[in-house]
Amino acid sequence: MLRRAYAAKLGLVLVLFAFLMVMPTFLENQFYIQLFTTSAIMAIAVMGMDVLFGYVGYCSFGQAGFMGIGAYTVAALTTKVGVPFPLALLAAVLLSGFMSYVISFPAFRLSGIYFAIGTLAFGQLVFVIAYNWTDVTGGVYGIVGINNPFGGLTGYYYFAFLMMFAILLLVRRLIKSPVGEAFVAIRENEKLAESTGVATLKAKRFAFVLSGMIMGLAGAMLVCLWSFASSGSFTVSLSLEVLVIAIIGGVGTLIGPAIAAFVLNFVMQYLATIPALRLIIYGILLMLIVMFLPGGLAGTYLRLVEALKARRKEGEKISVSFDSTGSE
Amino acid sequence: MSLLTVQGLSKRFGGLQAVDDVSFSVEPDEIFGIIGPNGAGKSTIFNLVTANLPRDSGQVILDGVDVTKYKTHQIVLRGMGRTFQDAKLFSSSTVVDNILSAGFCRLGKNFTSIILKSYARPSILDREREKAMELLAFVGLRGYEGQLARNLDHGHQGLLQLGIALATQPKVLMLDEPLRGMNPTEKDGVTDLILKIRETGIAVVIIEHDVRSIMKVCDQISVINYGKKIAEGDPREIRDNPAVIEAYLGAEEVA
Repeated sequence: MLRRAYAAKLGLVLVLFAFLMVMPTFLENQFYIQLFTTSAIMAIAVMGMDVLFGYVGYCSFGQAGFMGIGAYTVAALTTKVGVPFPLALLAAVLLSGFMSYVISFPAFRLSGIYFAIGTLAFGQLVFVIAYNWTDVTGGVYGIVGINNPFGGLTGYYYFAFLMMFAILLLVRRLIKSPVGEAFVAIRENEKLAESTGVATLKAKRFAFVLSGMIMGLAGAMLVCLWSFASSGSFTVSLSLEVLVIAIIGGVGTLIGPAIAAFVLNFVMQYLATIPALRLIIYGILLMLIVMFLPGGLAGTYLRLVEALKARRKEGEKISVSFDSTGSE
Repeated sequence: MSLLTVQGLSKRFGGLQAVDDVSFSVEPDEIFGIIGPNGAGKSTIFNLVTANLPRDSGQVILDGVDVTKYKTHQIVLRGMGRTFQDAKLFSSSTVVDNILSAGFCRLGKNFTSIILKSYARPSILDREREKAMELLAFVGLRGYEGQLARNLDHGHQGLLQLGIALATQPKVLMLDEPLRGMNPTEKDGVTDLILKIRETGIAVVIIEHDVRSIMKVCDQISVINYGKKIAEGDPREIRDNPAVIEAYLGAEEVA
C-alpha cells in the first residue's frame, strides 16, 4: 500500500520532470520560457521564505533584502570585476549568508510582530544603500549589461529548474530530519523546545542563514535573467509578494509554496499588467485564502486527504463488523 | 553528595524582591516539594534554576557539575527535565512526535554535529520510536500516540508533559504544579506516576499548591513566602511548623 503510493509519487515526479525538460524544444514562444524560468526562480525564493516562516515560525518582511544583496553581488562582480558567473554566484550566496548571520544577532532579540518589523527595517536599509551607493550599485540607474551566462534563454531555463529541484531536495531532506522537527518545535512552543534541550537560538540562526542564502541565490539568478539590477526590484513589496505566495501555497509544506509560485506568476502575468495592481490582487487572494482555505492550497489538500483516509477507515470498520455478524 | 544543590538564589523584578537568597538541595531518589502561597516566588525559583530567567545571584550545581553559567538547553542536556505550569505542548504535533522531539538534544554534542548527523540520516530519530512508545506506556498514554496533542483532555495533556520531560532523560525532574486544574482521579493518577518515576531513580522536585497531595508524596518540603524560605523539613515537621501555618492562614492577632 505504502509502496504503491510511493511509486505513484515517483511516477508523477518523473513525468513532471520529463515534461519540464522537453518543453523548451516545443515551445516556440520565448515569452513562456522566460515566464517558466522566472517562476522557477521565484519558487526558490518562496522556499527560502518557507524555511524561516513555515517551519521556524518567524515572519520576516525583509527577505527581499537578501535577494538584493545576492543580486548586486553577482551583478557587480560579473560586470565590474569580470568574475566568471559560477564564482560570482557562489560569492553572492556566501555574502547573503554572511549578512543574514550578522543580521540574525539583533533580529533574534525580537520575536513575533517585532521580528517582522525589525527585518522590515533591514529590507529598507538594503534598498537605501542600493539607491545611494552609486559606485557599486549604480544608484538609480542600477547595473546594466549583465550577460546571460548560458548564452540563451533555454540554457538558463534548464539551469533555473536544476537549481530549483536541487534546493527543494536539499531543504526537504533537512526538514524531514530531526532538525526540521526542532524547527517545528520552536514554531509550536519555543519555551518548551528550549526546555527539551533544543539550542533554540542556534537553530533559529541556522534557519535564518539558510533562508538568507537561498534568497540570495534567487536574487542573483533573477538579476542574470533580467540582465540588469535595479534598486527598485528588491524592495519590501517583493518581500511581501514572496510571503503572500508562501501563505497562499500553504506555509510549512515547502512544495505547496513552490507550486503557488508558478501558479501565481502565470496568473499575475495576465491579470496584472500594471505592477501596482499586483499587490492589490495578492491582498484580495490572501484574504480569500485565509477565510476559505486556511492552511493554504497545500494545507487544504492535506486536510482533504486526511478526511478521506478517516472516512475510508470508518468504512472498513463497518464492513468488518458486518462480516463478523454475518459469520455468526 | 546531593544531586542538585541550589545556593543563594536571588532575583529582583524592579522594586519586588521575587526570590531572596533561597538555598536547597535535593538528594538522589528524593521527592522534594516546594510549597507556598500564591505569588510567593515558587515558579520564579524554577525559572531561575533552569536558567529560563537570568539570575541576579546564586549557584546551581547539578550532579557535581557547576551549571550556573549554562544556558537552558545545556542544563537540560546535563540532566534536568522540567514541565511548565500551564500545560505546554507541541500542540499541533502528534503525541508520539511530542516525545520524539524531546530526543533531539541527545543526537549530538553540539548543534552543528546534530545538523550533520541528521542530514546524513534523516530517519535517525525513528529508531527511537519504540522507546517513545514504551515511555508512553509508562506515563499511561498508550493508544493515544496518533492523536494531536491539542486534542487530548487536560489530564492527559498533563501526563504528556511529564512524558516530554522524561524523554529528555533527566536525573532531576522539575514539575511546576503538575496537579493544577485536575479532578481527584486525575490527581491520583499523576501522584502515582510521580512515585513510579522516583522508583526508576529520578529525583523529583515539585511545586504545588495543593498541600494535601504534596504531603503524601514528598520526602522533604521547603516552604517559600515572599521569596524567602521560611521552613524546611519532612511533611510532619512542616505541618506543625508555626511559621508555615502563619504564612498560609495569616498571623494571629497580637493582643
